[in-house]
Amino acid sequence: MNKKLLFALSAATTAVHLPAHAASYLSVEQAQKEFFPGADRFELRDAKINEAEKELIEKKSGTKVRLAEQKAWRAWKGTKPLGYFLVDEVYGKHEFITYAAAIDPNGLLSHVQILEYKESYGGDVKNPLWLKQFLGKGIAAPLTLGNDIVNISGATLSCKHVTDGIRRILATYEVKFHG
Amino acid sequence: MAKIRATPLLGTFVEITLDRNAPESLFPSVFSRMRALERIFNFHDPESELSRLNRSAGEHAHRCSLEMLALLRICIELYEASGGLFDPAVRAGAVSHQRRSLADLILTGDRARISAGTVLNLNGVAKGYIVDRACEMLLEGGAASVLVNAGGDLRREGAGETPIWVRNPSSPGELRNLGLLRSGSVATSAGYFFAEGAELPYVDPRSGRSLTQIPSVTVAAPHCVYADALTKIVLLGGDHHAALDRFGAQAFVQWAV
Repeated sequence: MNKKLLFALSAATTAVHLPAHAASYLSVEQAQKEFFPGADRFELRDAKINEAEKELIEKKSGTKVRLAEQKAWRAWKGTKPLGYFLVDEVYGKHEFITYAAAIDPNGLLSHVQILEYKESYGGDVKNPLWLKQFLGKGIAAPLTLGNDIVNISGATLSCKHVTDGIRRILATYEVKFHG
Repeated sequence: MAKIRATPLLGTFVEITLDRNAPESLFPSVFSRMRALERIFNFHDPESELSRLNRSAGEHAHRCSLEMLALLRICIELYEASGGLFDPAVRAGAVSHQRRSLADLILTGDRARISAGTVLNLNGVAKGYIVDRACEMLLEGGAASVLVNAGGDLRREGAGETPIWVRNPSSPGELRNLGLLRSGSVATSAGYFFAEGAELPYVDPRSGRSLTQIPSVTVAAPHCVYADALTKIVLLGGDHHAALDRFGAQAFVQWAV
């Protein structure tokens, strides 16, 4: 047994039960700085998506377009465009995720990170503790463990919805922003 | 305040926590390194090194990258320590004359030779291996404390300690505290995110069948690659299997009620 492995599995028998998981990783501004460290300006480029564009994006990406507007910024250093910064949200059966992506001037995906992750299960909604964790900063959520992050060892949760979302973002970029 | 980032990777969400003084630039570089490693071991990508190795079966010896060689050596070690319960050459539903085992893999220097009909799938260990490599890279890059959590298979190293939680298999939204982790790994295999009655991606090499009903198995071990593989060994061989001691591991099994 490795003595450095400080881990009391026996603690699980006296389990503390907590409702699951919500995490904020980055704000939009933090993600912009991290994806485009050389940028001095982010130009707001939110784009409305009309019916014809919606169909085209759905055809190109194989995923549904749910929002009529794509949140977008163009990153600049002086007069040089560095790429686009896009924000999207996806939800699955149990999770709601906001994420950001960067697309470089060649139209290639250069970064993807999760901004916010919220998870819920049918039974949890009835649990007032679960609701409490979504009441925002300033209220001490019961499971707050350093920046709201709970380190869970569990069965793997699929990232398929985000992967689908990224395909949609790339198609939206082609239709609305490219060229 | 620690720095935390998350990204979709390895088919799941990878969350990385570093101490407040760690360089921010570590995040993009470690995520891109993990993507490169994922490409090597991706079973579903015909261009991956693993797919090239599989295509060489019965034909020629494959010259392995250092990463592939390291993971194949670990697989052989696990195969032997588990008496064949851990076997990345086993496929669900193979009829008896098609059955292969890791004994069909021969390593000589950096060359790997697999017999005709052998298909290796490293999904049971690649994630843990990549978590270990990411952890090492972050420590070498100047982080004082590191936690890499790849969708539930995690490793922590460095200063301080972190409480770790497992999901209740009867109600996965509910968490149970496992204790504090200072140095080492925790991995879990469980069926609660699969549809009721679905064939799970765990095959019993003794029968060639996929498992359908499994408990939640959590293993703590010094390295994530072993924790990851040992969850499957415990699923098949029970929570007193000798391989646990061999790799300095402990298991925690929860059945859904």
